[in-house]
Amino acid sequence: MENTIIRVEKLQKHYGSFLALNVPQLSLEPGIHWVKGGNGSGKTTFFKTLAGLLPFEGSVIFNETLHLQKHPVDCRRIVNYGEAEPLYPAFVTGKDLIQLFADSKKADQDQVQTVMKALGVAAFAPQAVGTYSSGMLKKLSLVLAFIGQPKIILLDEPLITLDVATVAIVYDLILEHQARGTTFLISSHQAFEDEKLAFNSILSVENQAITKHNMHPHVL
Amino acid sequence: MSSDLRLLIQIIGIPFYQRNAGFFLVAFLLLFGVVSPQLAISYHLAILHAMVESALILLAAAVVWLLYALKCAHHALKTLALPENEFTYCISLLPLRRQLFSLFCTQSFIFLPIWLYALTAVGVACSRQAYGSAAVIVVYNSLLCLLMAGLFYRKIKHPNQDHTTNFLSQYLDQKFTKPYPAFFWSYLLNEEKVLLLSTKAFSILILVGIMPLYTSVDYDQRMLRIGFLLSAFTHTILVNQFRQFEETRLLLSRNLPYSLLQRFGRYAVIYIGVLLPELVVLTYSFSATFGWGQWLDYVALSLSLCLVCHCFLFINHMPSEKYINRVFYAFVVLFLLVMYRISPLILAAGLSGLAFYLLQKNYYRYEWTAPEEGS
Repeated sequence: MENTIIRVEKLQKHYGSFLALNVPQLSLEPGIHWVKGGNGSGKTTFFKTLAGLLPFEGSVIFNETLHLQKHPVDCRRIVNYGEAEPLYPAFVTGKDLIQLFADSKKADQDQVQTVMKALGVAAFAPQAVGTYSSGMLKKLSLVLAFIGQPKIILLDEPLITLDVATVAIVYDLILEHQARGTTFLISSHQAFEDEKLAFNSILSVENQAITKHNMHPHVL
Repeated sequence: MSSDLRLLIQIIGIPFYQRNAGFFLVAFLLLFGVVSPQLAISYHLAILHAMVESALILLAAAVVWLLYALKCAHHALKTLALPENEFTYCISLLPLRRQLFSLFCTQSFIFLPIWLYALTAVGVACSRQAYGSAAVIVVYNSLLCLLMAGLFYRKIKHPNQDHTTNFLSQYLDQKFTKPYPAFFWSYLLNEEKVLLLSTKAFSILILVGIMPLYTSVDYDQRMLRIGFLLSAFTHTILVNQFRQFEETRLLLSRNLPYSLLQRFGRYAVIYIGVLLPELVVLTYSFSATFGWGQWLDYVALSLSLCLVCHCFLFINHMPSEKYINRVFYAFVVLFLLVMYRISPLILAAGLSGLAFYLLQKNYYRYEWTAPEEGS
């Protein structure tokens, strides 16, 4: 139990009368976890629940000390979320959003600049979001997910719409953060062909339930 | 009814009435609430008679109809531009005549209140043998509908036009970083211009209308406060739009580590910015009998009302119709409290307390549900 970064107990998420997610118990150790499942299986619901974007029944505990319901502000400080299909106001700039997240997540400017530069966001950040392509939007959402001092980063389909060069950069960023002790939950329909990421477990989301398969970290 | 017309009515026509339920309620109160029910028919007949006999009054009506047509066009073009309605480009593959007929009918459907009033005016004109006026009314409104149908046709023919920003916006975006409250103000300035203009015009008109009464004589303050209350209540539709914007485009802001008090403070800053035009107008209205005390009354009352409406919308399952309904009850209650001479500052303190209580109780339990189709 000491080595548990995320503990979920009796988690249930309903949309009206429809039970979208039912997780009686789940413990995740620090590392990288691959969340797999078909369309509509509940992966995004699981991520949004952990990120504090959706209300739910049950309990979610981070780092064995922070309860999502009891410590909403502290939990939001250590959990970052990169959306599968980011949607931002068309008239704000990437720079506006990055500054907002940097201020609230207490990210230092050097870190922000480094991540922006790595993902190639600096060039288009001063433009209004409405002018972005889907790939640019994805890169912006990844910058927002990586800045600050997150202990957990949830990446929902981080590779879709990205070009091959950027995919490699995303792998590097993940490894860099993991080396500093950040835990990742990554969902992807695509196989991780790059042999850099060592997954601790695969979380199969099926029929509204999550089953954990330990991998005893090895390279996929 | 053809399949394309049925579809257009479903995605443009019906949502128009659902979204504007509050607008129609206010319009109905203004048109039929200002006179006693016994006099309502003769009052409107007098207006219609004046309309068909005086070119000036007919011109005024034509301006009102044009404004309504623009409101309809704004709604329809915005709806057609939504990503989920991209599929409507397939309508452009139909024969031109069928397309224009369907679009004309769609515009006429959302133009129905004007058609009803205009055709009654035509009836009155014919009964008085003012056939010229009757013809002008029919031709003018038909042309308006045709023009709007043409705009919709163009939009359907050219979906997904490139998003461009003007030079000034580009310059400002390069130079400055918008703080969080400015996201909301930009939203109004960029995407809700008509709503913003109509809200501000209506709200300021009420203040400008009531202020001259207090420039020299110290009348009963209750009338002034009722005016303040009316001006504040004009913002309730805008608050509803803000909440939808917050939930659809800034959902990720829920992941930011702000305490509820900080979030409440930010909402207050947002609404102070929104109320700025009224505050400037009031500042320029200072006189021997109107000063900082009344100014503060307005700020406190309007700000707390916006906050309580905003936080009220954190209650789960609060569709627009229910919200408008509750706003109406709130107006009745506040109207009575003002009539009982309860100080606006006390009312504002109560409303602010209620707003924070609602935020605290519901913020982490709230889950946005998409409104009924198109609403």
